Amino acid sequence: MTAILVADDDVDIRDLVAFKLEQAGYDVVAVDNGLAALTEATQNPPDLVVLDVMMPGMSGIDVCRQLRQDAGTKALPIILLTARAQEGDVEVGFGAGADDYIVKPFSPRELVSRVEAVLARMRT
Amino acid sequence: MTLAGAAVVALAVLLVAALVFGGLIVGGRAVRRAREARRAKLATPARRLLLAITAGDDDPEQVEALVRLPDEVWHAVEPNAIALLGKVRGEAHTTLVDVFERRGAAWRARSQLRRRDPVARAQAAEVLGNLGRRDALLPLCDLLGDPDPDVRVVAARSLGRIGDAGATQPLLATLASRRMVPQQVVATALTRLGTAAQNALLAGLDDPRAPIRATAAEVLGLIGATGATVRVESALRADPSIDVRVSAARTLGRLGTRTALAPLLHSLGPDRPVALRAEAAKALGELGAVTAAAALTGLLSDVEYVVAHNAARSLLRLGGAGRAALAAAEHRAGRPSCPARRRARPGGSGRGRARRPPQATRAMIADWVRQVLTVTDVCILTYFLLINSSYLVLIVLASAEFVHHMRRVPFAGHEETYRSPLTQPVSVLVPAYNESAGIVHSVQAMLALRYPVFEVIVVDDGSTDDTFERLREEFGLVEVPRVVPDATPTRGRIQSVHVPRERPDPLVVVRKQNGGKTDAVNTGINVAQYPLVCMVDADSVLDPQALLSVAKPFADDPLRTVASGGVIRVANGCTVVAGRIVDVRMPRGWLPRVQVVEYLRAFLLGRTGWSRIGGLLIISGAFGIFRRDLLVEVGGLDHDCIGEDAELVVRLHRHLRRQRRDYRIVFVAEPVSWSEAPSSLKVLGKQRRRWHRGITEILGKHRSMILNLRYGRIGLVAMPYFVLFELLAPIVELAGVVLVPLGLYVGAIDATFALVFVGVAYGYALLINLIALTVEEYSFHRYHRWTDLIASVLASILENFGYRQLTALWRTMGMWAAIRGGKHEWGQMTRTGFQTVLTPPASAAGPGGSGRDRAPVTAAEDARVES
Repeated sequence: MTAILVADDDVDIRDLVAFKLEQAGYDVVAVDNGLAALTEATQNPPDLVVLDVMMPGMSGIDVCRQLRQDAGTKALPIILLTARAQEGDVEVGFGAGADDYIVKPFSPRELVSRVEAVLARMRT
Repeated sequence: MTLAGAAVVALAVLLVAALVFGGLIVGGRAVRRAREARRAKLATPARRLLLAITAGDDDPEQVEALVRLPDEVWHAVEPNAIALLGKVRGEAHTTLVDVFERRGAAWRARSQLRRRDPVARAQAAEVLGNLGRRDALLPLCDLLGDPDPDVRVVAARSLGRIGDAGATQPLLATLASRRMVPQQVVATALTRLGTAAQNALLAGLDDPRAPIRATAAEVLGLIGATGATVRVESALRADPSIDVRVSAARTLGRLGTRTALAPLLHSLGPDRPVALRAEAAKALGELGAVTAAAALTGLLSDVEYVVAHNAARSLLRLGGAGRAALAAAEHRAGRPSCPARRRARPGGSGRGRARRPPQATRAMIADWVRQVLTVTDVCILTYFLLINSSYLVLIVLASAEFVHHMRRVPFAGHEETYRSPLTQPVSVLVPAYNESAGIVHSVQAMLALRYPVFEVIVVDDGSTDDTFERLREEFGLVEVPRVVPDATPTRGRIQSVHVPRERPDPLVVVRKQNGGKTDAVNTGINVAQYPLVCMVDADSVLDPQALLSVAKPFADDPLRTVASGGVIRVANGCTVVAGRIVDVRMPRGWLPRVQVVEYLRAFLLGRTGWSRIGGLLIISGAFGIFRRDLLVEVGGLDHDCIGEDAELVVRLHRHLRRQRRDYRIVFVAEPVSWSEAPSSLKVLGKQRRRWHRGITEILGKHRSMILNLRYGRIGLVAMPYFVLFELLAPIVELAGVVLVPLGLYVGAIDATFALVFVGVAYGYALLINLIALTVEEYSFHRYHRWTDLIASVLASILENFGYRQLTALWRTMGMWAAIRGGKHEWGQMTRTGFQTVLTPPASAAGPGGSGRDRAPVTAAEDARVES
């Protein structure tokens, strides 16, 4: 089964994303901070990571950069989830190596479509 | 009633009160736990339902089940439902709104709009906005004129969420109304109305009132109204108000139409106001016009720092061509000479030596004690009664503030502020001296703060370790030619300015000659390009919401707020991961534990109380936000004052009161910044001597304000209080400690009096500590463990035995040092770096001297001034 790591400090969002992805048939591991996300991703590399940008411990951007530097997780698909959609932020997100960028408020359905799209792109 | 009778009554009252507050803490916590557990139990199945329908299960039965939930269960999940409402869109949002509607939320909210309680009105407005009720348009527009400013803000925000263009006119009108709504709130709301608001906004461009024209221009850019370009261009060229022209420039950058190129280039002219030139330089980068590269390159060596800085950033945005131009220009320019003023220090003349205390025999001492006590016994007693009662009053004031604050948290709008592109940007100033160990983590944590637009300025104050190299390596810093403005006086010359080139982090690192922390902060103020500056310590652990929380007063009351301080809490014992507090616990040692209680009482409650009555005299340099223009106006921090952060606040009060300006200096109680407290007596002693020396110097320097009618409540209440109950407190404390046992020994006072003294001085103080703990328990509740509670109660008892007396001794020594030393000594030592200011000049050798190689925590403590 496809495994997805979800990292968000906002419990409502984390539960919602986990719920929706589980419903869509993925195997979900959810953590509430950046450091835990990094540890989890390096120890048990999932097939995709959904990262909130603003988290205590380490920001999603930092986690993203770290994952891109590590040989084991270099190609790991990453989707950033953020409350901010200014041009600069999107630049920073993609600059850190994200594959996609979702802005809150978000549509749970759209999230699943994007996850599927990114995964499909990886397989080809 | 005899003294003995009074003593018995007083002690009984104390005991009962202590028991009551002890019970309140324990009972309150137990009840809270029970309620939370019950809530969690109720909420679990309901939350599952809520998630299911939000996730888009189109199951009418589930929706039905949620609608039919008993009120008690619904209340347990309602906060989650409201939170989700703001975080999802599309079908998930529609379904959620449907649930709220069917539960009668909108109907209930409408009936609450006219309630007497402003919190109820604001909550109702918030609900109507969340639900997007168009039929609430008119009542919400009425609320824009509400007497309570928070209600007006919520109404404006909700009108934005509802998104009906009919609100455009009323929203714009509030900008010029007596009951104002802050511009950024109005503009954000207008932005959400979208293109439907365009016509009303265009009409706003012709309004005779400048704030309305500026906001209209701003919003036209944010909604992407390209049709408005011509109108905005003419505003840029010809509007009489500079604010409107700056907004117009920004808008043209956002709209990105080609025709804007000419008027923007025109606005770069050297005879235009700096604000306009800077904004135009920025807008040209947004515009992405490669043809502007030449003009922007010409600005790189501009004498105005902001203009040059924005031009460089814009060139970066122009892609390859801009980048090449930037690299070439910066290579050519080399290192500019940075204007750093050197002021001649008048050498202070040494004062006469203090007289030696007279030698006295035992009999003489006994006699003397008796004489002194006959005059002072009642005075000392009254003093302790008053000082403790004043704490009580401050705690009551603080509690009132907390109640006010807590009730308004649900609609504080932090998310909104965070998302808005119009929130006032902040320059975060980080003075760093030999911070090699933690600087990279600190800067990363600061760059990850939740705030829309900010920059982090690290001022490397001539570090002798690899502080700078670590930063350069981590962030890929490159040197850039910048002329740093000479807005506030500095001493150490700026050597170079660096920015990251490959990463888009808003970071600026300034290297300068060592000049002390004050000098580093002043340099930071000069470099800062944003209207607000935030002072932080390099080793502070900041909450991600820190900037949002402490900048909120500026967003709520932009015209009057000039400074806002954040509370400092004790980091010892807490778990810190990558520069963030993830678990709050009491420290292990008793020394820091006592300080936790002390910080709660003195900083959290004391300052909140003072802030409530508009008499806040101290904002800690470890976290405070100031308006940059005012810092420049008063000349930045004072190099010659030890308590430079507190001195700044007093000077701001003095300056603004003299000019009879209407202003606010506020304190935000939300925990935002965590600092390591001294865990050894040696360091604590040093810190306290320094703090008290600072207080003494400040009160001495500004003594003409004391009891001066001109300075209002600052001169009549706050400063006299500081003299009486801060400055003199340690002396009276020591007098009590020495005289009462002595008096008892020589028989000048009887046991009853001693008992009353202990009751008033120690029992009452203990009670105050318990009350402080109770307030913390019922407000922020940051220490969750029962063991932490026991530790804090024990610490509040222990504080009275040994700790108080020791600090009193240190404080007296600090005061003495201030009286004796004058300013000469400090001026001499500054050059050796801010970590070593308290070591005598002889031992603090030049760079790399022995005093510098201490652990970073200890070193930073010396520099930090709090009181």
